[in-house]
Amino acid sequence: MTLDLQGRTSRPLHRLAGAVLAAAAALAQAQPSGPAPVAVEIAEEIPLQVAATDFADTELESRGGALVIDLAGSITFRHDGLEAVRALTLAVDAHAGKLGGRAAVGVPSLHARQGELFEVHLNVRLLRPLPRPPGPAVRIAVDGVLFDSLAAVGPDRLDSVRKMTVRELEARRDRRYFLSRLDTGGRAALVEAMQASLRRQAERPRLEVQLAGGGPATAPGRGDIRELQLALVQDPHAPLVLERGTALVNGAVSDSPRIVLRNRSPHLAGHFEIGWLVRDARGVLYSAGTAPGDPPPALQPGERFETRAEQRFSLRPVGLGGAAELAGMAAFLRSVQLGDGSVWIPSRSALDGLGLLDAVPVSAEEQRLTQLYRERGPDAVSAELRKLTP
Amino acid sequence: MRSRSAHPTQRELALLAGGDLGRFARWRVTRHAARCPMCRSAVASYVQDRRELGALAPLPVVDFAALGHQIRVAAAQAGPRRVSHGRRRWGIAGAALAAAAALVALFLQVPDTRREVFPATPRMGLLQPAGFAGLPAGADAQVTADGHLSFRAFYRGSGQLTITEYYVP
Repeated sequence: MTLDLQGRTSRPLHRLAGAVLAAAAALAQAQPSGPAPVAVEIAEEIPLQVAATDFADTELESRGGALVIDLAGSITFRHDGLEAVRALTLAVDAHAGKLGGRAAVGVPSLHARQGELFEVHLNVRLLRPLPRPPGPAVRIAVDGVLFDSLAAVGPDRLDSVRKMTVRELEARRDRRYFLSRLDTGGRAALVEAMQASLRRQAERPRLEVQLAGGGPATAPGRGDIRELQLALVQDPHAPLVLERGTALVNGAVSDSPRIVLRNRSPHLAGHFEIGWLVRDARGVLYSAGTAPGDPPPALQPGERFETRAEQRFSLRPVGLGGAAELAGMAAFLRSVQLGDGSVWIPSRSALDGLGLLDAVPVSAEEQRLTQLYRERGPDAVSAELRKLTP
Repeated sequence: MRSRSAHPTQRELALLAGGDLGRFARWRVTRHAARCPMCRSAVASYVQDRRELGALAPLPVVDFAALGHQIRVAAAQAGPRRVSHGRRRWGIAGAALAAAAALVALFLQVPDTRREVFPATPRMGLLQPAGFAGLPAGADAQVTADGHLSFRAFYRGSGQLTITEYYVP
């Protein structure tokens, strides 16, 4: 009961105070307890500073024995270095040792000069076991930064530098292609190229890819197991040649393919990526991604190597009812890192000539440019091409 | 001829609430509403509706040039078709109807594009590691050389594309 200045009791004020207290208590209960859920870390050698973070939309929810973290927000970085930043990779950790506890977010096609700010969006779902940790639920660390000269810096715990380099080379290749169309055929030619790319992206057949649990497809009692011979698509300019490949399949489930390759170049060859394609009973070709396998530390000129990996995958074409059957597989070389640190990727004309353009996903840069075309038209694409291509 | 006891029409009551009746009509309807609780209540409801409408967010400014461009892009994605004259007329009419429907949808809904994420590829391709539902519906994931799953997402507004890899231990 409160009294006003004249000593009279004030019931409306009392009710208002009670309502305010109740609202404050409800608000306190609604707020997540504990420290902020996200921490951002940058190694000293990386010339970036965190200018702002916004993870207000991040949600944490307990489900059974796990904490589901819907990480949604953005980080704004300020670039303090001399050379322009072309790509960035963030390592996002909630519980690195468990499925769903770690992710990497790569951002290609940046163009941040010294002193400029750039924002990186994140939308990642992670899992970690309960109880909730005393510190931040998620730690985000800059794993690698790629500069305009293709030099890089960062801890590189997730092989980020190599991946960013491959993407940047693909980006430059595809920007040159679209720019050449613009220079030779003008605006109409650029529009035609953009439309063709959008059609290709829309019509590309899709796979439902899932991890198929532990154990090989050859485990007893697994039914009809077949060994497929992989069709090998050879690029005559590639430093490695694919000699043979096989995969054990059971319906729509496949072990990781085993592929034998040889270094036919005069240089040491390091990390390589082999594109993995699957064909269904109708003869439609789908991209499954990259054939898994740990590469050798270095492949000597003339040396052979066989890829091996333990994962199994369920590969079902999207849109087909009932059980799917894998009828065939193919492989092609996507990238090779050579001993001098340079990276080889197939040319666009080679991909076209080998009939791969319609099956493999377009590069991240081509996807970005076509989205830009969809939203803002060919003039915006033209300006972007001129800005990013020396 | 109007009887003395006749109520004003709903239209007249609504116009009174908005102050849009002529002088004589306003006098007549106001005089009636002063003696008729039912009509007085109706006028009060119309006044409340006007107040609530006024509190709504303003309609978005439509960039018709961009909208027209998007419609042309979408139409071109259908690829070349051979049509007869009759079909061509229906095709043009259908495109016009679709454009009108798109305009109506735009006015009815203002999406918050700041944080909107949609999978960067237009087709559905569901990817989920067994026992984990971290990948968004419609994400076109690909296997990586490490045996992980990666997918791309495109952020409207900023035009940024990100590539997320989920790590499998």
